[in-house]
This record gives sequence, C-alpha cells and structure tokens, in this order.
Amino acid sequence: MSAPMVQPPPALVPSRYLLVGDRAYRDSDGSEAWFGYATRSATLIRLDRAGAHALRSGDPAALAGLGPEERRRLARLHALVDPAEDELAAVTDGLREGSAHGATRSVTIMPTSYCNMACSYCGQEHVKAAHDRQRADRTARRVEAMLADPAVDAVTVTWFGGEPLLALRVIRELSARFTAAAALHGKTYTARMATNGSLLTTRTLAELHDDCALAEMELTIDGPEEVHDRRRLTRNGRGSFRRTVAVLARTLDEGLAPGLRIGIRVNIDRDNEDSVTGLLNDLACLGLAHPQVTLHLIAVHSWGNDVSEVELAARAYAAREADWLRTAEALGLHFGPLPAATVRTTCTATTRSGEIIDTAGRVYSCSEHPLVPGARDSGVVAEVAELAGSARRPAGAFDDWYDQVGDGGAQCSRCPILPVCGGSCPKLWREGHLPCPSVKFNWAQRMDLAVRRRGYTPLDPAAGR
Amino acid sequence: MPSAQILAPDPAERLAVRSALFDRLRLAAGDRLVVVLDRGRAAEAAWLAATARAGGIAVRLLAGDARSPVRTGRRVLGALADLRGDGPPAREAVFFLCAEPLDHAVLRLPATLVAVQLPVPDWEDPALRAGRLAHLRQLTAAAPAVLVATGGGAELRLRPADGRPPRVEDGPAEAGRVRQLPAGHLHWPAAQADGEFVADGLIAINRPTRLGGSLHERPVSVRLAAGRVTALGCADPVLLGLLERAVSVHRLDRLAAVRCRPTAGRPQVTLRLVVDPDRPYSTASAGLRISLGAAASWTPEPEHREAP
Repeated sequence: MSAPMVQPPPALVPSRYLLVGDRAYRDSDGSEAWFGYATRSATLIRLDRAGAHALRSGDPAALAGLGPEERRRLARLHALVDPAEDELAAVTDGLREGSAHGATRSVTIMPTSYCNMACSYCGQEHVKAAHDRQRADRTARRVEAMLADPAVDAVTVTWFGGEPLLALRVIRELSARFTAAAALHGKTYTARMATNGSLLTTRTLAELHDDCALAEMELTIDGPEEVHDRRRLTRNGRGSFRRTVAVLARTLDEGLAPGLRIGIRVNIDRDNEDSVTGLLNDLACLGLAHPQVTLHLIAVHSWGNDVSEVELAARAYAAREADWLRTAEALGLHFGPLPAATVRTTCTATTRSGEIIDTAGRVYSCSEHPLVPGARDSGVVAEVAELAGSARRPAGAFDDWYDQVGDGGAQCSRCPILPVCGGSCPKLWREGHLPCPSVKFNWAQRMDLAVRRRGYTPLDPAAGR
Repeated sequence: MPSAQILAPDPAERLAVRSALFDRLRLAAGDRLVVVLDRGRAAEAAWLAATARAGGIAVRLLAGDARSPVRTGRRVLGALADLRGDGPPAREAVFFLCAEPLDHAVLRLPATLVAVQLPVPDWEDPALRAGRLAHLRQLTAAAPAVLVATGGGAELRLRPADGRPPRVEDGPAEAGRVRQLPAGHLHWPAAQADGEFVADGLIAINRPTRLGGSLHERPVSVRLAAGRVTALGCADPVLLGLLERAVSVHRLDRLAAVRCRPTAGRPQVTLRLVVDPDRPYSTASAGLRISLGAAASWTPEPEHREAP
C-alpha cells in the first residue's frame, strides 16, 4: 500500500478585507515599521517593509519570503487567507450568526414622542400625547419577560425619543421594574440614552446612572454656542449649549457618574462645517477632553426628509473629518480612530433580537421609522400587546439585508470595510443614498492617528497631512 | 547603603538632590516617594532613589507616559498604594523627571499630594541660585518698571498693579500643585503689562491636551495692553486655534502673574494667563490657565516710559 498523498498547504493570499498603509514609521527603538488594518479582525497590524510590500502587491514570491511564523501570525489575524475561502460568505455568515444571537436583547423605548427642540435637519414629526399607563405597562412587561427568559443573558434598553428626558418620570418607573427584574433573575441589565441634553442636571445624570443603570449616553452638540443654539433651538426660544456643557463638566469634574460613558455627537452639514474646529477647541477649554467622553463626528444624512441642500458629499466630508480628528487628537479629545471590533449585527433592523417600541405600543425594526411621516405607519412590524412574552419580533423590512449583501447585490459586497461596518444603514441604501461611514474614505489618515497614538513617529512627518 | 556610583557624581548636584528631597518635599525617614521619569533621565532617578533610600524613604520608580497624563496619574497612585501597604500614615510625594508640563488636576492626583517637577536636568548648587534670586529681587524691588525683552525684538513693560510688588517664592512644595524645580523665583502678581512677549520656552495648559511642551519650533507671540491679551500669533494653526478660542470665547485674557526664574544665563520668564474672574464664559472653563515661558532679558527701568 502506498503512503497517502500529503497536499502542500495552500499559498495564502492577502485578504480582500485588508487595508495596507503607505507610510513608514519609526518605533521608540528606531526600527522602521509599516502598518495594515485587517477589518475581519479589526486589528491594526505592525509590518516590516517586506511584509507591507508583499501584502500590498500580493506578489506570491514576496508573500512566500515572509517566513512561516509571520505568515501564521497574519493568517491568525485574517490578513492572509486561503485563496479558496469565500471571504464574503464568511463575513456575511458571521453577521447572520451575530444577528441570530438571542441571548442578548436590545429594546429601544420611546417614552415620549415629543421633543423640546426643533432642529432644522431632523426628519421626525413630534407630537404631544398624554402618558398612557397601560401602554407603558405592556412595554415594561415585554422587557420583564425578556429578563425572565432562561435563553436571555442580558437586556439593553435604549431610551430614545423625541426627547426622552421629557418623560423622566416614565424612565424612573420603568427602570425600577427592569432593574428589579434583572436582579430577580440574575441577568445583566444596562441602559443607554440618546438625548439633546437640554434638560440634564447633575442630579438627573447621577440619578440615571446610579438608579436607572444608565451606562451610556449620547448627546448632540452641533457647534459652538452661537451655532448650536441656532441649529438646535428649543421651542421656548432659549439656547441650551452653555447649560448643557456646564452640567457635563461638573458631573465629570466631581465624579458624580463615574462609570457613565458620554458620547458627544456632532451632526455636520454645510451649515456648520466651518465651526467644527471652534467647537473642538471649546470642548477642550471646557474640560470635556475626559476619558469618560467620546467624540462622534457624524455627517447629516436623510432621515426620510430632504437634506440635499445641506448634506456634504461623502468624500468631501471624510477629507475634512480627517483634519478635525487630527485637531481633536492634539486637543486630547477621545475618539476611536479605527473600529476596534467587528460588527455583530448592523443595527436594530438587522436582528430580530432588537426592536423599537413607541409610545403607542407599536413595534418597529428600524429606529428611523417611528415619528417619521409615512414610515411611522408602514414600518410597524407588530403591536407590543400582540407579542407573546419574550418572543422575538417578527421580521422587518431589513432582516434579509445579509442575503442581499451575500448575493453580491449591494455595493457593500465589494467593500473592504464590511466586517467593521455591516453595511451601515440598509434603509438608506434602499432609498438610494450612500450611507458609508467616513472611515471608508479616510482610513489612511485614521490609521496614521492610531499609529502615532501607539508612539510611532512618521519617517516623513509632512506626509499624510 | 547606596553605592557611591549611584549618588550624583558632582558635589553641587548632590546638594541639589538633597535640597529637592529634604527642603522642597520635606521628606523624612518613613515617608514615601514615587519618581516618574522620562527616557534619558534614569541616572538622575537613580541619584534621587539612592539619596532618598539612604534617608529611610521608601521609593518606587515609574516610566512616565507623555501621551496620557491621566494614565501616569493612575500609575502614580497605584505605586503609592503599593508602597503604603498596611504601613502607618506618612508623607507621600511625587518627583517628576519629565519635560512635558504637568498639572495636578490633569494628572487627577489628590489635592493632598505633594509633587515637584524638574523638566530639565538642572541640578545646580542651591546656594548659587539663591544668590542670583536675591540679586534679582534687589534689582526689581527698587524699580518702578521692568522691561522684558524676548525674541524678535519683542518688549513687554511690567509695572506693579494695585501696589502689589514682586515677591520671592522660595519655600517648600505645597500640596495640590506640581511645584517646578529648581525652586526659587520672583513672583509678580497682577502686574500691569503693555507690549509684546514672544514665548519660545514652554507652554503649559491645565487641560489634558497634547499641545503643552516646548515652543521652540512654534513660538507664540502675545500682545498685551493694560494686562489684557489683545492679539496672539503662532505658526502652529492648531495651537493658535486653541489660544484664540480660549481668549476670545472663554475670556482667558487676563495676565494673572509673571514669574521670573533666575536660571544661569538669561532668566526664564513665564506669563500666567487666566480667565477674567469677573466675566467667565462658563463655570466649566473658569479654571482654565495657560502659562507661556521664554528665556528673556529682565531689565529694571529707573523711570517710567511710555509703553513700547
């Protein structure tokens, strides 16, 4: 009997989900270093000159010259892959798996559909409605059922609106029930909130953090005082900038909510793009360059409304954003230059483990449906009263998103950042918009920031500016 | 016992090390000290550690992290906790052998902690410095005005305001702030200032920015009239952006103090700018402070002249 044929291991090739920088750096010992970013592992990878050349060119001889240990390391990080692997399928399968995961449930609750602001670019239609105790009770029972479900490990509630702090009493009441249910069943319960910040006080913030399990809060500041207060005018005509930043600064300075992560979101369009640098300087002067605070720069996009007059083109926005991020870095403001984790699921609309419940007890899959004329009715996937216990919501309009991407029918199918983006926003794609995050266009500048943050210095300091 | 090799080789340096530990930090046997050092300062750290240990002081050395003062502060507190263990209460202090300007609040150190910083290896015999300081005081006390000349022909005229003449600060380090070494300087509170000052030494901002440090390649020019900032200039657009915003929006336009350090050669003059306490923009930025330093000539003027 002859010995079985041993197939040689396949020659590995660079992943389609690998971005290789074109700048050389020096480390603290003076050694030269190059960098790549593997989006399948969301990892920044140090390379030597030969490695960077081999990965960029894909030249088989250059790849073979890397040495077995280096090739194994790069394969572990998904920078090098088996040429036979269908990488798109591997990524979309991972996203499907993450979306199907039912042990972590996410519920976005709108305790009010009213907002005390009337921002020029907002697509929501806000209405005042009396608080309906029965409907709130049904919502509470839904979350309690999830916490009681043995198949569920953790529930996250996101307080959304309108402006959720207009319904602080509802948040208090429901949070008390949720934290009690979590304690009873030994489950993890955390809360997040998206707020305009105008109603915050240090006391409210501390209470939300201590008693309502608020772990993360995102509030929007659209520019320095004069710009923010013009764009985000409260209905009583008063500005909110000065008050909001003072509350944040005092909370941080006095350590009133030590575990709370605060995101400052800046919605940017043609109207305020020239004032972003001024805002960054203001945030630094105000003491908001703080480890608990993360900066989120976001390009204004359609929310079902027409923002074409003010919307910035994606590439133009990304180029300016790279400058803002460099300034933010110099000012000590905190942000993630490159995504540090792959996406498990794109958004609430792509996982039936996520849902949005409005004040009327309607259940949606997409957070851009409630309060938006038209979508408010067409986007309803269920009534909370109809859903049995903790059963996952019915499929919505975008739960087939990964089939579309996997079939090659979406632009995302060919995009190298799909693993860290997930397609950003299926709704906007279907409406004909380009929702790509800025990192798609300015990853090289962001990589430069990430590399410098690790203490490397560019060989040519002027390049990349 | 420390070996002779780790003590400072020069007698003047040994005196300076002893003065820093025992006069400025007022450490004694049983106390605890953390030394935070930059690259290239290991020899000085060794001198400090050996001298302190010989005096019965518990010492821990730490590498600083210039990119994250908050992380450095956390590591200092961790090291002090390790040194403390279950030991009895004792004086605790930090000695920074770091070039970057440091601020107690930015480091998030407790207000009870005593800290000093020696930005550059300036281990001069304390007696020599004291002599220069006395001379500087004598010159200045008798003069109605002082002309401070910095780079590019810039001149700033200082006069006492509110009858508050300059005073000598030469005591031990106080808790709650990072005391700069070598110690001993002339402190002129609320001086009237007119003219221009070009800072090419150090800038310190009491916020955790990465803009603090040397101004050698990005000097900052400040014009002042009656002790208030009226114009700024800097070739670094990011630094200039912050300074302009700090002055125009947050009203950091008031000269709170001038400090003159009698270093060998030209004195080091530092302007300390603060937010006008009568009209702060926000409580959140009311505590903002920026210090700008330069090597300058310090010339007492016998008679009052018009502002340059």
